Parts: sequence; C-alpha cells; structure tokens
Amino acid sequence: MLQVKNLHVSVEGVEILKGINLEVKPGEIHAIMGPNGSGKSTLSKVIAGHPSYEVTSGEVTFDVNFEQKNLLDMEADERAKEGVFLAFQYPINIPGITNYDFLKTSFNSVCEYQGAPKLEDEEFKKLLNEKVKLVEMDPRFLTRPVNEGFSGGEKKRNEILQMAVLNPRLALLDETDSGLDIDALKIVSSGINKLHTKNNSVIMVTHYQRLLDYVVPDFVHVLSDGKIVKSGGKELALQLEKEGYDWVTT
Amino acid sequence: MALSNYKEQFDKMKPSFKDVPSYKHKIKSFDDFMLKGWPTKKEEDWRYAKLNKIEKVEYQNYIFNIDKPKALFEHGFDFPVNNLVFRNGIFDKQLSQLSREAISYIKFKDHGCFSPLPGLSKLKDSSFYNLNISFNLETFYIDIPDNVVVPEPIVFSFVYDLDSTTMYHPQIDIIVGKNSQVKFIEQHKSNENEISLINPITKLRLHENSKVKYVRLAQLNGPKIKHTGHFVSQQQRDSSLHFVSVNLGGEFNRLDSEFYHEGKGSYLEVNGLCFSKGSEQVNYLSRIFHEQGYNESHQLYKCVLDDKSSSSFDGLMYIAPQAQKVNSSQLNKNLILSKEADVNTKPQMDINADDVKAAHGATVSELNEEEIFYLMSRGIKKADAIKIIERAFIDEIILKVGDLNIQHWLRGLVK
Repeated sequence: MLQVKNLHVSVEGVEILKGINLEVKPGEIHAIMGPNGSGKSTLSKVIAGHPSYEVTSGEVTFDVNFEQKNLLDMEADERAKEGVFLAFQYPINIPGITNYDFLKTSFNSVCEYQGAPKLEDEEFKKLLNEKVKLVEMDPRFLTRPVNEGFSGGEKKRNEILQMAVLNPRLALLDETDSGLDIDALKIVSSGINKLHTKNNSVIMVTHYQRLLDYVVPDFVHVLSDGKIVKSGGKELALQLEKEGYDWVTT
Repeated sequence: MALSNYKEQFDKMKPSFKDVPSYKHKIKSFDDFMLKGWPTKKEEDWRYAKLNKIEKVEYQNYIFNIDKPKALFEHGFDFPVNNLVFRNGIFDKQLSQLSREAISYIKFKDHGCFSPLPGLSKLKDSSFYNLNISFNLETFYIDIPDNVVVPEPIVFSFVYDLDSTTMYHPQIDIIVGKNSQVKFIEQHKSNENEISLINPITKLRLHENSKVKYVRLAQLNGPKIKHTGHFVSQQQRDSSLHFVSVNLGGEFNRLDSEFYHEGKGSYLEVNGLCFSKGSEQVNYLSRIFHEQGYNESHQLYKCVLDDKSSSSFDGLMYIAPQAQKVNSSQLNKNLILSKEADVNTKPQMDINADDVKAAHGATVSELNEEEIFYLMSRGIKKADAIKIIERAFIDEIILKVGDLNIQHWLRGLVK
C-alpha cells in the first residue's frame, strides 16, 4: 500500500530524515517510536504533504487503483482524497466553522473527487451519528467551532472522529495518545481498532508503549537521527519501554 | 481642484432652504467647507487616506443630476418588515414596507433639522461632514417612544442607481426612548456603474436604560464609488449599544464614528469589519468618549486585505478626569493575503482618570500555513481552505451581531 524508499527530507537546509525505508501492506499496523527530535512527526507530515518540508531525494508511493502512484507529486488535499489521513499531534483550532460543517465539507470534497454523490444534510447526519457514537463524543461538539475551546483529549477524539468520517486507507496517527487520560486513551484506541480492517493500514507515531497495549502493532520501528535503526514485532516496544532507547541508538 | 463647482451649486440651492431652521447652520457649514477645502494628508485624521481619488472628480448634488434613475438594480433587500427604502438618498414610500407601529415612529422634517453635535465632537471640522450639512436635501427622523420593544429590525436601505458623478448627502436622526429596545440596520448599496460620492450622516441618541443593536453596511459594488460615512451616538445612563460596521468594496470606503458615554453605567460594543481587494481603500476612524464613569466600551475592528488594497484604523478612547471606574478596550486585527496589501493602524488612548481599566493593541498577520495544511489534509482544496480561514477570521465580528437572521445575512455578503 505504502512504500517509502531512501527518503531524505530537509527543513531550511537542515536534513531531518536521512534515508528512510518503509513498506506498509494493507491491514498492517506499524508503530514508529524513537526519542525526541528523531524525525517521527516529520515522516508523518511528509507523507501527508506538509509544504514546509523539502524532499531532497527518495520516493513515497501509494497504491491507487492497483497502481503505485508517487505521493510526492500530489497536493495534501489530493493525498487525503486518495485515502491518506493524518491525525495531528496538535490539532488546529478553526474558529468560524462548526465541526459539523467542517466534517461535511471535508467528506463531500472526498466524495466529489472519488466520483461518489455528495451527501445532503439528512444523510450526512445519519452517517455522522454512527461515527460520533464510535468515538463516544458528545454531539454538542458538532455545533462548536472546530477544536475551539476543546480540551487536549477532546481534540484528539475529534481527530479520530474525522478519521472515522473520511474512512482512510492509510491513517497516520501522530502522537494521538499524548495528552489523553487513561479513560480517553481507551476510547480513542477502541475507535482506532473498530476502524481498522484488513484493507486499511495504520502508522502510529508514539513515544510510549501504553498506546500499543490497546492498539497492537504488527511491526515496531525505532527512528533515531532520521533513520530507522531497528525494526521488530510488538515485543520490541516492550523492550524499549523497559530499557529505553540507548541500547538501539548507540 | 477648484471648489467653484460646489459654490455654484450651493448658490443655486440657497433660495430653496432659506426658510428652514437650519439655514444659518448650512451657510456656516458651507463657508467652512470652502475655507478648508478637501482634507489633506497633513491632517492627522486623514493621514492614511489617498485623497486624490476624491479630489479628481467634480460631483453634482443629486437634485442637479439630469440623468433619470434607471430601473432599480438587484439590491437584495433581505428584510421585508420595516424596510425603509431611500432611492438616491430620498425616501421612497412606494418601495418601502412598514408596519403600522413603525410608521408611528417616523417624523419627517424637511431640509435638515438635526440634533446638535456633542461639544467634544471633531466632526464639525470635517469637510465631508460640512458638505453633507450644506447639501443635505432631506433628513429622516425616527423617534422611538419610551418603554417600547420593537421586535423586528428597522432597516434603512439606501440604494444608489445613477451612472454619473453624483453626490448624495442623506441624514438619519434617531432617538430611542427610556427603557426601549430596538435593532437597526443601515445599508448603503450602489450599482456597478456609479462614480459617485455617498456621504451620509447618522446620529443616534439613546436615553436611559435603552438597548440598541445597530448594523451599518456600506456595500459599494462599483469600483469607482466613494463612501465617506459619519456615525455619532450619545448614550445616557445605563443604556447599551452594540454597533457593527461592515465596509465592502468601492474605491474609497470610510466611516468616521464618534461614540459618547454621557451617563454612568452605559455599555458600548463597537465592531468593524472590512474585506478589501483590488486597489480598494478602507478607512476606519473611531472615537470613543467616556465623559462619565462606571461605563464600559469594547472596540474590535478586523480587516482582510487582498491584492493591492489598503486599510487604515485610527482609533481613540478618551477618558475624562471625572470618568472613574471605566473599563475600555480597543483592538484592531488585520489579515493580509497579499504582499502588496497595505495596512496602517493607530490605536490610541487619552486617559485622564486614575482608576480605570484600559487596553489597546493591533495585529497584522499573514495566512497561517499550519491552518491551511490542516484543512488540506482533510481533502479541502487550498483555495477553499483559504476561504474558510478568511471566514473564520471575520466570523468573530459577525457572531457579535447576536441576531441569527442578521448573522446569516452578513455571512452571505462576505462570501
């Protein structure tokens, strides 16, 4: 589904990713761990199409209609419409547009791109109600401006609601567990698990093992200084939790 | 450019208003206008205005215009109840719709009888203000009695539909009685071919414990049209005024406003919004005078600028020595979408009392790349994402209107 080959990325002349290789197949869950500043968030933003990062070499391809297409040639909105979703570490507040209008605009943009009919209010509300239940969100949040006045946990839950509505084929979850108390973590994880099928994939960026207790990865990768220095199964995360990053990064 | 054109017109008009009560005032105002001429950049209040755009045109007062009004353009009157229509500055009863109740509030007095300006007012030194007093043809009075709640907004719809270089000087004079509550909408709309100067004056007096919401819109569709509006409010004890000004389009779009707290315990909220593009120019001059203590005022002006457009905000809050326990704030925020757009902002305070709370500030910002990326990562095209962010920026002002119908109407205008 996703292939990252020898990816080098810089910001303002400083190289952050120094040759990343990663392959994600349909149905797989990958966890990317690593110390602060290792390039984890950069990797997810580059895949999602953030314009501040310069890809100096390498390639990122994504399966579109059984064909590997170059993601780097697409704008961020096109990537989203092809099924790439990034749950932000720090979701942005957008005053002036309600959560409901935002979700509907977003959903219908994707529908239009994919040649599916747009949904009118009545149908969309039906679909949205199901998704709201999935993330156990208070429906009153739908009438409030996007993320405005939301707590950290509510913002993260809102990210998963957006993911549920857009139903992506590849979800990049950038530290979705940060700022969540244990109850919220359970709800968010349960949402992710319910949305995960054999046809879609998840890449989770996280510092800690605790999210992986609820969303169990097939693969764990350790990123250090812009490179994947170790890959393994879920047991690697447990070992990192116990022993820290030093033994893999030195 | 010589002012002889205006002298000629004024001399022709003189005989027609020699019996009206304001005759002397008109003569003096015109003399002041002739003496001073158009304002220049040397005047602090006009420092940021590109005035050559006004000086280059010789305007004809509406009554001297020989063009016949065209069929009314699609003006989008959105308020069927209590809609008072003024065509080219003159009240048009046939086009208006009024409830019986609203009719009883209207008082006509021909040829410009008006309440005097407050003593501190600087408007009497303004060339445009004096031009209005001199050439005004009709003043429209609304007198809301005491203890009345008017459920539907009273709308003043000014439409201008001449093609030539006409100048219009309408006046509205409003009194709201004790304990009364009312909403007003004043909208000025021009057709696309106008090259005119729209130069209105509105005066609003709020008596004790009255509550007023006032939305003022200047929507100039023509790229060569100029608007130099004036708004003055005087608030008595415990009254409350929420004022929103929206300036859209035109070559030059300016509002000079003065708000007076004359009694204790009054509340004032002033919000301004502009959205300019091309080479449009928007000026806001806003003066708030706290003459008495224990009252409150909050000002927020927001402007979105694209292309080579420019805006200026010149705000002042004055707190008199006797006006203790005042709470006053002033903020101007600008969002620029183009490197060539130009913003001038000057929030000022003149505080003469020692036990007050006062704050002021201004910001100028560009589009936030993170916000755009967030929206794009949800499948929204960049151009649409920018529109959403613009809307988000100005919506703070629209939300302050309170009334959902008016909010909906304003959102439609600034799409």
